[in-house]
Amino acid sequence: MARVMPRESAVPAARAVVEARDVTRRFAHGAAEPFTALDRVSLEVREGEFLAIVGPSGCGKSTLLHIMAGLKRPDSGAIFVNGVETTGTTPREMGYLFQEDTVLPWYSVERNIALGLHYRGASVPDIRARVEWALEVSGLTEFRRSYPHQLSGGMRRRVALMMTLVVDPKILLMDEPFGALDTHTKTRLHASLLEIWGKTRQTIVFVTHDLMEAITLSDRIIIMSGRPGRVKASYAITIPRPRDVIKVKDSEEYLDDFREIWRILGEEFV
Amino acid sequence: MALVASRLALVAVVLAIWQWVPQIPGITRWAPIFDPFFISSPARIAAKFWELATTTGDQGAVLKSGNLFVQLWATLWATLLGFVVGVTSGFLAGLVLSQTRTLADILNPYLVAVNALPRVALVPLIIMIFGTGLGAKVVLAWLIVFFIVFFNTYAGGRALEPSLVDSCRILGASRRQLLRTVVVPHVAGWTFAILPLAMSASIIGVVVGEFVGGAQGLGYIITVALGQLEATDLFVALLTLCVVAVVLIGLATRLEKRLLHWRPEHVGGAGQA
Amino acid sequence: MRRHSTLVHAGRLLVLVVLLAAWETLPRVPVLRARTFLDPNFVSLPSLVAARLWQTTFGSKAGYLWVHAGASLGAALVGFVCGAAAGFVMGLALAQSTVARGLLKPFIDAFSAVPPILLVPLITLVFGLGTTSKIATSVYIVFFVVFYNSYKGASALPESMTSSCRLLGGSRWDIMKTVIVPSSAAWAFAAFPTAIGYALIGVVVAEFFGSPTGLGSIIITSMNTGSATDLMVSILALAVMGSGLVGLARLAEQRLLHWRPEYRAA
Repeated sequence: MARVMPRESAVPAARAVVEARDVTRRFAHGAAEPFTALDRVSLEVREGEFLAIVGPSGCGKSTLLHIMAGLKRPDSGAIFVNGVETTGTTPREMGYLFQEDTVLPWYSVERNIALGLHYRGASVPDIRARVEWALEVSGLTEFRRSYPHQLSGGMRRRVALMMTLVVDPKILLMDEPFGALDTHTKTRLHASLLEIWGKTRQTIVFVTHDLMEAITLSDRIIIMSGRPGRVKASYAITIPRPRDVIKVKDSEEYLDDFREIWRILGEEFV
Repeated sequence: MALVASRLALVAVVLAIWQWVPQIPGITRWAPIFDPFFISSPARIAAKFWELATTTGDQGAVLKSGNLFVQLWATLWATLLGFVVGVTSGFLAGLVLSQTRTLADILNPYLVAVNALPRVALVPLIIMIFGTGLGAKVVLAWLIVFFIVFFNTYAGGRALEPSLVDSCRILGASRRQLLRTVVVPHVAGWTFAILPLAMSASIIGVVVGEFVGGAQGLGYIITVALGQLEATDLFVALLTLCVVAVVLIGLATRLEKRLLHWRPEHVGGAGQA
Repeated sequence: MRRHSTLVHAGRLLVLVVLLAAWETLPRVPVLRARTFLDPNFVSLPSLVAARLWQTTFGSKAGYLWVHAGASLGAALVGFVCGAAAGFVMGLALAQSTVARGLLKPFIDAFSAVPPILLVPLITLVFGLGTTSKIATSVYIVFFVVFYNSYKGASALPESMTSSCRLLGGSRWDIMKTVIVPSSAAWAFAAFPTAIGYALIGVVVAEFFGSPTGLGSIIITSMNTGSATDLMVSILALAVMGSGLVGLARLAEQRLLHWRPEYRAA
């Protein structure tokens, strides 16, 4: 039953691609009391793993992701990518899927997906090939010339996802990307994500407050505590891959994992 | 079908009242508004339009034959010039200022103060300084158009979501690429949305300028006709002006819709200036 | 409210000082006077404007500005009250009656497509040079602004709101009284600051055509007599009065509509 792993794992881990060391971040919100969003948080992300970070609202998980991506600076502590310190900067091999809608409304679906490739100066045949792949794998081929306003919320999220995937990031950070969607759409996106990831196998750090989503998708879950944000536990998911996103919710492993993590999270409600 | 018929009937009734009530003997003692000296009549206005369209030569009190197009063009040209200059300068100023935080903060209270001043009140000042020619009219149109376009563009530039910028930066965009693919299209969207109002503003600037101190243009004709109490000529010029205004604003609206095809929620009601 | 750095405050002060200094000194330079419009006869000077402003408000010529300002304001307000009432009632009526809407709305739409200020000479022709045409201009301008807002307020109600009231047992009249009229009124109120601002401008333009009283008339007189200082003073007075009026209206609207912040943007 030793599925709850201490922070220092006894099992030899794969190479740590991203490392957060003693990251602390405080917020002074004007009139309100300054509070500590993250308190000496340390964790590592292993190569090729799908790591989920869950926790109650306000526990700083989004802030942690921002800091890992170099979008914000910690008050103390550092971020390392492949052994090199990257605090405050965004390494080229990192991709980030924001919570907000980041599809450019004035470009077509095609043009949006190709955006990162254009920015990075890829060749025309290369762009064409990758965009074809992205359209096909996300089921958006017949919408390639549509504009974002003509698409549903779920489809726009698909476009945003493909925008980040098409530039082949080795490390992908995702900040509650499917939070605004209904269960049905979310499930379909989960299936797409796992299918694509099954082939590309990049390192993913996925922040969410939805426990079901975290267990369905990830290899390991970091459970964070509320203010101040600290790492409470690290939990390895035992559900085997490949996973069927619908059937998985019926499996023994899923139910056991859910029960256990819920219990740990429940301590936060006291 | 009944609806269209009843609307036409309403128009007919109004025209009939306008035409025949003034002919009732003694009506002007009860309701002085019905004096045809002041309000002319549909028949006379129609006749004047016909006369202007079919005859040449120098007949007519204020609006001489052949003159209507000359005056129309004077107003139209000034309006279009003012519109183009105003929109371009407003867009550029709004773009630049919205992206330079410190400068924008410094100038903010002054911009608010200028916005509080109704630009139409400046018409006499501009006429006094620049005279009554095309230049003055374009300056007036520019004054009104610029501020409307500038404030809208500026607000748009400030409203750019940081997550959009961050996302594109992480995708690999350089500063120039960011400007070209994110900032400019975003800001331009706000400018396009205000085009109909900007056109309206340009017309107002030019025509009020012609009211106050014009030497040419439909507004000038209207003012002269008012001074000489030539009701028919006034109506003819005014109707022409109204058609011009509606057409121009309509064109601006269609332009806006085309340019903003990627954003179907349009700003713009039924043309309130 | 962001707290601004000293750089920003210093910058603001610098801009003000530079502008005033330029205005005061440049028109005195003979070269500029001759070649450009920077001539005290055209643009006046801050010192002259300030002196004249004092003179006409509290000094020896006091009363001059107040009388004319009052004339414009009075006409604008009277017109505002009539126009707002008419606009409100029409908006409500047209939202409720499909027949009236089908018949009249296209005409209202057609008339509102023309900027109202263009019709001022016509109003002056029909109503003469006095206060009546000023009030008529104000009524015309205010009517359209308030009408569209009132119409929206009465017709844009979510179906769920009226249905739920009906299920609670409300009659058609109850719903009118407790849902539709307040919603329409709230939207109409939200338009008041804009409307009063435009009304004042309309009145001033009407006064351009030779009215004996009002800020517009003294603006035109100053222009005709070539008195740049008087012109500046009257424009300034108009700006201050206009802002004050709109500001007061906004305050009143905020107090009255405190319960519906989303209706503040009309």
